[in-house]
Amino acid sequence: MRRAEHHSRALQTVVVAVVVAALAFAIALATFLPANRDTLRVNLNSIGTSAAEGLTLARGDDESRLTRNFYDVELELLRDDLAHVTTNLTHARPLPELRGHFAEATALAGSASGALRALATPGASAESVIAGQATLGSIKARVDSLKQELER
Amino acid sequence: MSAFLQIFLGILTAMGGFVEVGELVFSVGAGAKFGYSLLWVVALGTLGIILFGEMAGRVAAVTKQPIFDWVRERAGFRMGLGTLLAANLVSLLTCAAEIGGIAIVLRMMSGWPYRLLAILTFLALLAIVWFFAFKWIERFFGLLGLLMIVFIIAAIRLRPDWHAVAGGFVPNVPAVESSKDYLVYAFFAVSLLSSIMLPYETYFYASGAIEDGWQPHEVPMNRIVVTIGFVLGSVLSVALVLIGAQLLKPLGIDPQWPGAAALGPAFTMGRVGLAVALLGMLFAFGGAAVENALTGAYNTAQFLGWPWGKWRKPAGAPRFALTWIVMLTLAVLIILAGVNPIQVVEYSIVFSVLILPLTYLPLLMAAGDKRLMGAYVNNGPTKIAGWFFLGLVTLAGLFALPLLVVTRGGKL
Repeated sequence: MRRAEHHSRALQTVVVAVVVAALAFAIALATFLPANRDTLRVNLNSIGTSAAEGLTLARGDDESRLTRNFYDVELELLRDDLAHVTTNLTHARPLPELRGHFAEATALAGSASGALRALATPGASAESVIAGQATLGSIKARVDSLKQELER
Repeated sequence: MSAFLQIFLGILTAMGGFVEVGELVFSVGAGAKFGYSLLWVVALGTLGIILFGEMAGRVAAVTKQPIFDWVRERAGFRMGLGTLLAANLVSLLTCAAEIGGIAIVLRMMSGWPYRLLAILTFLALLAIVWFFAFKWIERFFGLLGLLMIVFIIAAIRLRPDWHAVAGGFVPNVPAVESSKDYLVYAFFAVSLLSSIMLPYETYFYASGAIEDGWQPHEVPMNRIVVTIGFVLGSVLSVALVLIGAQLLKPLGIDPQWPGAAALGPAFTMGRVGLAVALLGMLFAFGGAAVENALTGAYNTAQFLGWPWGKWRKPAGAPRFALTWIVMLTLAVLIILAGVNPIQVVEYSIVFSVLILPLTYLPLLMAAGDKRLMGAYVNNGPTKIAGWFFLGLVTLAGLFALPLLVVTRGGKL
């Protein structure tokens, strides 16, 4: 019994220490450090995946594989994600050499959100849907090339 | 009921109740990010949950004592209280995530407002737990959760490279674009392991064994149900990884919402596939929400020595009934506050792995106690496997939170 109590105490001490250390690190990261390449990469990933999923949903809708409610709700959730990304990027304090990239990423998030809105509009014309898809395709390509630039 | 039918229903229920929102999100995400290369974690996690699930059922059948009796008895009141609070916090977060997941799925089906659907979900779950007997709650969600089989059909129809799939079951480190992807890979490995070995599953399983009045002679049946049911359930997880790898990865989609998983059935079976997938998710998430709410009540009542059990009327176990009502109420309030349920999932999964060792240690010690278990004590291989998995989840627990922070929730 005493051995189990001792082991449990040791395990709980380790768990508490890990939680405290990780929280302290997370707070320090968010409060004191300027937004770096990692911050940019996380937000670019979100923009890229939203654009890719938007394109896939549009294809599924074209092929009558999706219901209207599913399609609209998915697009709305993606737009919510992009709104969150825009807020993150706008409030970030980037390193001086990354300011241009952050500004471009903010613009890409706004464009992607607009393109998703064009796809979701009830009774949207075929032209606006095609334009929305083209915009998402080019955003995805630009996000991929920005991510490659960051890797160099 | 014949023993065969009992085993058959037990297996189907275990299979249908295997996947919940966290496992769905992490399995599809793992496939979308790393192809088949994390399948070995699914296999490892399934072995772990079979091992500890069987142990929890066996200890409950032989001693008639559930896990939190052991936690208090073996770890002492103060240490045990820490484990209880941590376990209930994780169950609350998981319950909230499931309710949020149900509201999202219902919204995809109806188009109704999200918050209204969260409230309706809460009321429906409250009514189900209040009016249904334990066995029917288990069977209702477990059997209807079998609609998730549509994901297995979708995965097969996506024509994966079966040779590469088999290769994924061997531990490996994939070729990645950046060195940071190794950290994301480690985060997904830890999260996937935790999502399969969620601690509430063993708490609920052991409490359920006592609710159902298991006797020591039912230990072999417990072994069959756990082994076959969880292996079949893990096939669902494998299917979700395959959908991520086969459909979403080539398209560059890193799924953020449960709906992305439903694209697999939709693109292979059209609107019928999509509808069945959404229904399957609805019941799978519903089952997990109820199990977590009840788990909070079971844990608390068992630890504090209150009367507990669904076999009692609420008036016969008022503090137990009040606790699961409070769990459901707090969970829906978290969702109504506007918290993203998928973010809640991430935190609940990561915190789960932190408390896994605290749960499994007392269980392992109880199941290995010859005086207590008699002929049903852990045998040599079970002992070795038990300590191996305890070491593994302790290691995973040490890295889970730092990896969550460093990889920004796996989004790096």
